[in-house]
Amino acid sequence: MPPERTIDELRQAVRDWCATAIPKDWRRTEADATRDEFVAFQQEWLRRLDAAGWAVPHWPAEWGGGYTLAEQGVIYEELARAEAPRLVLQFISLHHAASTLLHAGTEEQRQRHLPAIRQGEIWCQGFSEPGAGSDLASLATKAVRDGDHYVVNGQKTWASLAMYADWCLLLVRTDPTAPKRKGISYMLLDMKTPGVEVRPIKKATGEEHFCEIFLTDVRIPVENLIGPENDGWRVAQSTLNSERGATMVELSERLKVGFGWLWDELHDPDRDPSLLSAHDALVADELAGYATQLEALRLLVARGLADDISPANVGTLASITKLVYSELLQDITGFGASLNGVGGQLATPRVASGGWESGEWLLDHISSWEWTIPGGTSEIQRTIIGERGLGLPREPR
Amino acid sequence: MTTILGISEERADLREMLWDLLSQQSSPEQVHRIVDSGDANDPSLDAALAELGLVGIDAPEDLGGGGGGVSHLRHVAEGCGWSTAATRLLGTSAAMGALLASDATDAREQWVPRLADGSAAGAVALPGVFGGDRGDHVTAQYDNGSLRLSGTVSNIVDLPVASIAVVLAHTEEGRAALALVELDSPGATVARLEALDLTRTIGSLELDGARATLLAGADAASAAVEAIVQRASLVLAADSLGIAARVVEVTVEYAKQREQFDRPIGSFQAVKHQAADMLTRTEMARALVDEAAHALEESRSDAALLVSMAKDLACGTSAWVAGRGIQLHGGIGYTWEHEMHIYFKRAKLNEMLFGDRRWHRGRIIELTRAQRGNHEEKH
Repeated sequence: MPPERTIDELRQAVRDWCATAIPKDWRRTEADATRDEFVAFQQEWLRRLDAAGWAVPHWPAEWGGGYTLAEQGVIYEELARAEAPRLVLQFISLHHAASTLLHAGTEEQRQRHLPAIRQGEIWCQGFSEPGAGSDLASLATKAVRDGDHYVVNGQKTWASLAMYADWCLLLVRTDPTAPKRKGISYMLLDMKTPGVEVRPIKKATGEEHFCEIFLTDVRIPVENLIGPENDGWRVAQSTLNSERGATMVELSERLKVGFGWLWDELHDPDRDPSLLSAHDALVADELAGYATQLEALRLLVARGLADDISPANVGTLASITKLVYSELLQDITGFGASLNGVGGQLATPRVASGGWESGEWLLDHISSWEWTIPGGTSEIQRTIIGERGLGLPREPR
Repeated sequence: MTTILGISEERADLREMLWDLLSQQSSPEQVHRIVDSGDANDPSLDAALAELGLVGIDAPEDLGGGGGGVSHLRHVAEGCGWSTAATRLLGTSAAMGALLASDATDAREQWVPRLADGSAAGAVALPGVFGGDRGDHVTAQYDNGSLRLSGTVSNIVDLPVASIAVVLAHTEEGRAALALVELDSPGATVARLEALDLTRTIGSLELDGARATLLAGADAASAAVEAIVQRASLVLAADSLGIAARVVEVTVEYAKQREQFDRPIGSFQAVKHQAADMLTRTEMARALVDEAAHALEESRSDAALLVSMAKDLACGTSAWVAGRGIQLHGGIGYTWEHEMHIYFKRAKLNEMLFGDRRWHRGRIIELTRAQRGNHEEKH
């Protein structure tokens, strides 16, 4: 169990820790880091966070967490405000993988992976396929039972950082004759298994982040199944729905911090006077509008963590906050990219551990589509809000 | 009540009582009657609100109020917006805010109970505060110890249905004086103007040596003006939130019923996604209105900032949502017979009252600069 502390004491404890634990010049030293440097930096940062108790606040106490939603919010808020590095490499591990194991895994699977995740075991997510994006349930990667193994063939795509992954959360089709949502199974794939080939995809920013995963006669032991065979769709959905969005606290706080940089940049008395500044009426109007929307986003995120929200509305509010966050990120970074003339279009070093607001506004803006497309596109979110939140009739599908 | 955010039990009770009352006494049929009458005023509704203690819900109990806070008033205002109620609540609560912020005990004891019980109604005229009033100005003169006001103020909301007006005047030396004028006193003339929104009245005030009671002078006047602005802005933000929430409800209901191409139009993404945006933006506004109300009630240092954010976002959102509501209803939403134009016009008026977008965004910028410590060396 975490030590007994009031919310204010916890906030102070995280703040004090951040003051000494965050490497002062990490953004500079991590700019244009090589792959190996990036991985080493991320793993070292995870080790420090975990030693202090801030790596898995959202996990149950018996696995090293045990903080309430409000406390998790405070921890993420303080890390964001202190401009700490982001855990990018371990994001799937700490959130989706852990949530899946806690929600639907066996005790043995939890024992095997949860402690390892805290020590840096990297996970990726093998959900999307070239032919199954928003219509994820039409996935075609096939798993055929052969004794105490499944033999898997197919192709996955958009797996974030799969080139570094030790394990993969895999959705496969085990019953091709059943209706499409009823024939899917959820498995844990060891990425070192023969027949697994990972090819990074160079993305629009020029970096490599997403990967294709090719699976050829890959043998997965039956005990690596998560939940019952052919029940994978339900397991995946309920896992996603069980996440209460404390990570959105971190994202919205980080966006606020990033917006603060843009704000200060536009108020800098030494700013090139030939460029737009905060004293331009149009700029000021937009700054005020974004400041307001950011505040509304932060308040919505907090309401999602509050005790008085009805369980039926948690999912709708999660879709709303994801939609608002991702589109606000796109708008604010796009606004930032419009303020510095051609000079703002020049290439700059990228800080892979930074996040979606680095102050290099055009690159940040291009990256913002990583929020409006993955994890359910903005269009899918609007459909969820319309159908679950407002009870509008389903479209034909 | 389309909201997906949580509501505390105490507030839920208040809202249930309010929404019940307003569904009956300010039903779409009743609002249509008011609109068609051209009066923009519903005395029986005002009486019902007063009788239930809703007008003075946050006034002290010893002055005939309910002893609650502005976070209660915020729900009353949302309900009035939701039902496009033709009430005098806005002007009256703004005038009450001036009285509550004032040291003028006699005026407070005389008028707060009357505003609360509905036997009087108020309006507030703040020439020069928000801009856009064409140089309106009121002069204050002290004459043998009595205060007299002269000048003209145009476009004052709720003035034609008010019995008192709180007016910001200035002496010839430029000292501010916030004063109360009884509108039936000699030298005070009210002219009603024809507004497009037929749920609120607008008038202009001509003062020619009208006797007035000083509520706050000099520095106290600016503090009282600030209190009025924050309170009225919150009431308007909540009113607009109510309009937006109502438009979402009505439009979603229509999209579920109305069939074209052999299916409900709400099943089409082109409609569904707009409805999703309407709900999303309305809930953003709701989150800000709630927070601003609590900040104001607790006199937090960020109250002024949050109130301006709530005013700007809720009023802008409401006008946008109402416009989408007309569009998604198709031709029927553009008729006089349908209530959508009533929501839209009130939302558009709310955007302009007690500071428009430019004014509130200007405040957001100033207050945020102060908070972040941005200095203005070069400007």
